Amino acid sequence: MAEMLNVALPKGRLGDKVYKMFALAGFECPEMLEDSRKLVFENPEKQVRFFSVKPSDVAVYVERGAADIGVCGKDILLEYEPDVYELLDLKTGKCRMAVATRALFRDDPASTLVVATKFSHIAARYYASLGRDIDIVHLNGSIELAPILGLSDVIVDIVETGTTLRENDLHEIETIAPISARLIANKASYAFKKDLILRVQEAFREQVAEK
Amino acid sequence: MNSEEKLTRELRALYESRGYSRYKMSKFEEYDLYARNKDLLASEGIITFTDTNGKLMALKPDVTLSIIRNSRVKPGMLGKVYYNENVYRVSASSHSYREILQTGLECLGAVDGASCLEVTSLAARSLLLISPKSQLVLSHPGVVSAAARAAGLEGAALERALKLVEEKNQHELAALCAGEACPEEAAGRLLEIAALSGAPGEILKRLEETGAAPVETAQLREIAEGLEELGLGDILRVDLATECATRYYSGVVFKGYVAGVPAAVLSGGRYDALLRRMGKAGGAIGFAVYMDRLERLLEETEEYDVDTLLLYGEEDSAAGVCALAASLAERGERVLAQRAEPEGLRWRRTVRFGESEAKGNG
Repeated sequence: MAEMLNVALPKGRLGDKVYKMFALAGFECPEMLEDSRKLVFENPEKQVRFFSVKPSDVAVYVERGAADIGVCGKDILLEYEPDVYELLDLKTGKCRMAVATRALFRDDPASTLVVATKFSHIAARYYASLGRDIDIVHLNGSIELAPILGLSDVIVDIVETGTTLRENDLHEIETIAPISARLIANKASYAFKKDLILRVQEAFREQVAEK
Repeated sequence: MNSEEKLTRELRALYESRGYSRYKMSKFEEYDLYARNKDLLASEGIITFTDTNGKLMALKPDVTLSIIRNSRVKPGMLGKVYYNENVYRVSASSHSYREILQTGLECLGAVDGASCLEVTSLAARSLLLISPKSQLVLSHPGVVSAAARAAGLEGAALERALKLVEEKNQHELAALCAGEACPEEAAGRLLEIAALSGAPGEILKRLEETGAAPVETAQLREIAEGLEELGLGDILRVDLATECATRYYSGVVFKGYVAGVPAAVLSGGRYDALLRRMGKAGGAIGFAVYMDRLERLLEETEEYDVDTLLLYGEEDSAAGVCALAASLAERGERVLAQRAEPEGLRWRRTVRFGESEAKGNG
């Protein structure tokens, strides 16, 4: 049987967009377009098998070798630092990791800064690079609420258009890193399925360049 | 004997066949040894405790440091040892301590071309003992760092560049070079070298054409051609992104992969600088096989846990039960004597003491 390329795709809009890139690259799998509750889709003729997983889990599937390659946000790579190859910036799903706070907030460098975020590692590393003492409040959602209710001084979160911030009287004060979707690969898979992986990488590179 | 024990025995026989002697070490070492070399350890956490004499001790997180410290190699000679030891490290995924079984070897002292090739070939043969579908990836961290320095990268920018090369992150490496105003030609060469990965002949030829790091390239060629001559060329690949951000190795490095295991199962290379740092003369090269990563690959898939379940009652003769179990075991069967059928076990057949045989549950 021909070798299969296992691909972890993020569920949702980004996953749909990336699947189209795979289809254009010659790795189509018509099952993917059917409305079903299936989690695994494969096309042996094209040597490809797709898994639709939670976006934040893509890197885990790839790092642990359940998937050979996958597509996930740079935010996940910065937060979890998985031991994978980051092969390409797909220049889609663009946003930024930023620090935001209330309009009236005045930072006092002499006091500990309270930071609410679901990206604790990114926040800790960023403030450590500035030599700033912080207290992290780890939240799993509605981060914007934290400074409004006095739970934190600032937030570290993903900002796309800034509308949610503006609607909650918050504003962006620093950009930590630009974020976009990245093509990632398992290191052992790269050793054994390099030709298949390079085919995807090359085709994606051309598609990204055409944008 | 299970597959892991069988592999350990085969690796040991392989290393002993080349004259490597067993290095046995204590579970504990003085903490000071690791504290001084913390930047070289694979994980930051070290389990420490105070010994009865007040000395701060550590459960060893690494074997090589201990071997270097205890090595007594005469000038001009080689010390060759292998080990099969547990180390204690923090797992990157679970953030908790794990006991990890490592097998490996070290060659210290007057290390030369022959000893480098011997160690690299033993790494390749170790991989082939694990699985015929394996790959040994060869590199030299000096090649990429020379190309990065030639592009004008130094200090934090150099470190960042090497990390990006290791991740095969060409897009951010290109952005870094642009941000640091690297000369276009030198940056282009760095990007090209960082991406070189494939069959040794083709990659080394291209590397020689670039003219970057000729000494390091010659060392790679010597090893690659030597492995080819020894009939080990089929599993060899050169990938210059391998271990290029390492502080541990200062010469040729290699990583081993086997199909079915998602991470490298073998890692090694030349570490002369570490030896010097610990006040020892000469060179050193070695590697470790991460036995814990092979667990899933070596898992037994036998249909039954035991061949015979021998059931006996309270009234049965103890000597009779033991004698029957012994005679069945002598026939090569795995026998489990129990008073009642155990849960969660699969057995081929049931023998009730004093009765005829019955069917198993598997």
